Amino acid sequence: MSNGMPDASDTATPLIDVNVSWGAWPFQRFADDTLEGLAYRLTSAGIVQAWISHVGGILHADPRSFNLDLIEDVRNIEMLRPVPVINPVFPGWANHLNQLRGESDVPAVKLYPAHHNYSLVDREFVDPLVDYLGAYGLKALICLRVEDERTRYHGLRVVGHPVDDVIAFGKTYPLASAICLNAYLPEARRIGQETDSIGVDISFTDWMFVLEELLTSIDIGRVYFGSHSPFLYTGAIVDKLMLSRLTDEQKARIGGGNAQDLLAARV
Amino acid sequence: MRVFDIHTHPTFEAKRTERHELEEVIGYARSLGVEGMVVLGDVLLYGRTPTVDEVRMINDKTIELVEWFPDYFTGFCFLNPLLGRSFVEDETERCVTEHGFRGIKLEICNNARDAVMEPVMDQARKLDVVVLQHTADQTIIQQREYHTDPADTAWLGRHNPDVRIIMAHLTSCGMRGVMEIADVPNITVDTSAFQPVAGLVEYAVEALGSDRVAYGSDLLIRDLPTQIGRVLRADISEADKQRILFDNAAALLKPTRQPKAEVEA
Repeated sequence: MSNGMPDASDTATPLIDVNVSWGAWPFQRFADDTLEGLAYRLTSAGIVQAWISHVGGILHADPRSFNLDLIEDVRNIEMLRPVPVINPVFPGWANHLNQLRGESDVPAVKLYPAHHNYSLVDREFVDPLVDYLGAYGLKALICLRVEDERTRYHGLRVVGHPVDDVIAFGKTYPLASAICLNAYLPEARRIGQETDSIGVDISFTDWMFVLEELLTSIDIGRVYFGSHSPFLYTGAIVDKLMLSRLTDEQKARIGGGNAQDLLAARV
Repeated sequence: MRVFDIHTHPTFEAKRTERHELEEVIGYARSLGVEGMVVLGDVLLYGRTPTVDEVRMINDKTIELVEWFPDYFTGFCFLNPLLGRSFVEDETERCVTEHGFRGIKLEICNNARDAVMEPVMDQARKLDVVVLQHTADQTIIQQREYHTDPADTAWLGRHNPDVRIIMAHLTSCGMRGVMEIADVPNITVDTSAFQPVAGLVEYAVEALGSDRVAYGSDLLIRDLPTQIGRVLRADISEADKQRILFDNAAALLKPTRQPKAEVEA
């Protein structure tokens, strides 16, 4: 890059992005019309692997068809790892997940409790899910919000999921393996301070020297690189990590090392 | 490519008030290519409608920052327009004439359509400085009684076509906000704040032209590389990026009129 700013994409740190989406979101038009285009955009930003979900599963009552489409569509794009959207209050999710796992190497499932209208400590529905994920070594990616509440489409009256519920989840299921996505800095700090194991991604955290601030409240082993692409500019979130004042070792941990450890620890 | 940040609060919520703390911010910003910043003040330190003394204290701090780092910081005069014409005139004269500030900063004391804005715009016109108006789509927030919507900033611009205005916060103004000011050529939108929502910079450039989009970060509230990154990583030309990241800010901070002595000469 020719400007005075260092080029974050020149990094030797291989980035694993745990927060990528695909599909048609009614309130934002994305730049890429094809998965190949999105994959190219991610790769150009230094991302070697992306955990990707279909946005159709957020608003549609039954996410299954979108999950199946996604698994088929990413089959030949090696860097994209499909993450099914699971609604634990929608009947049949376990059989569906069995089918998906038979067709692809699924690292995690994505949960949208705000959009699917449930509590993470509603034990009737969440106990079976946590048991299932634990049995198969799958991570739960808990998405607090898709968009900033202040700029969302006025007719979509979905606000961010309460961080208190995430903290209660962490206390109810201390052995569950989960990453909270799209948390603001104060929320991410609380998750770090009030739970023992839930991780956070960096996509929505914000403040001067934000990652240094974040690491005062949470162990680095629980912080993951997530860009929330294509909702946000991928490169800008890469810059957040790579142009921060963290050490190269810290950048490598957040950028991909922690996600790599998760994959290695799977059953 | 050069970078100038037209929207910062290097001291915010009474954090980073010490000289060495500001040196740290400047050193980091310089490492990212940022050559200078506009200081808008710790504008919410005393709440939504600060008193005369509180406004003066906020501007005193900005004066101090500019005196500490005159080659890096450019001051804007923060105002509470509700305090009336006499105070608005006195405070802008103090900040601009005595201390070389180059703009006026307006927050959420009142809506930009309110009559109390008249002396503010008169002073901006008289002193030949730019007005930066905090703006946010009020559809969800619903605080329009005192919080300015893009339609209100557009109204302000139409009624004061000879005053240069910066509509703050591209993401919180959104696509409608961009289109509200599309036919008001004296208004520029700044890119500061909120998450770097993809596509908005391209949208603003297409609707307004790259000469009406200016980079701002809103630090300390925001992360600097992320805010610069939303411009650098946008799908626009390198020339457009240069205009947004530096050239437009430089133009806005320059007086539009020649000094009187020069004109007479």
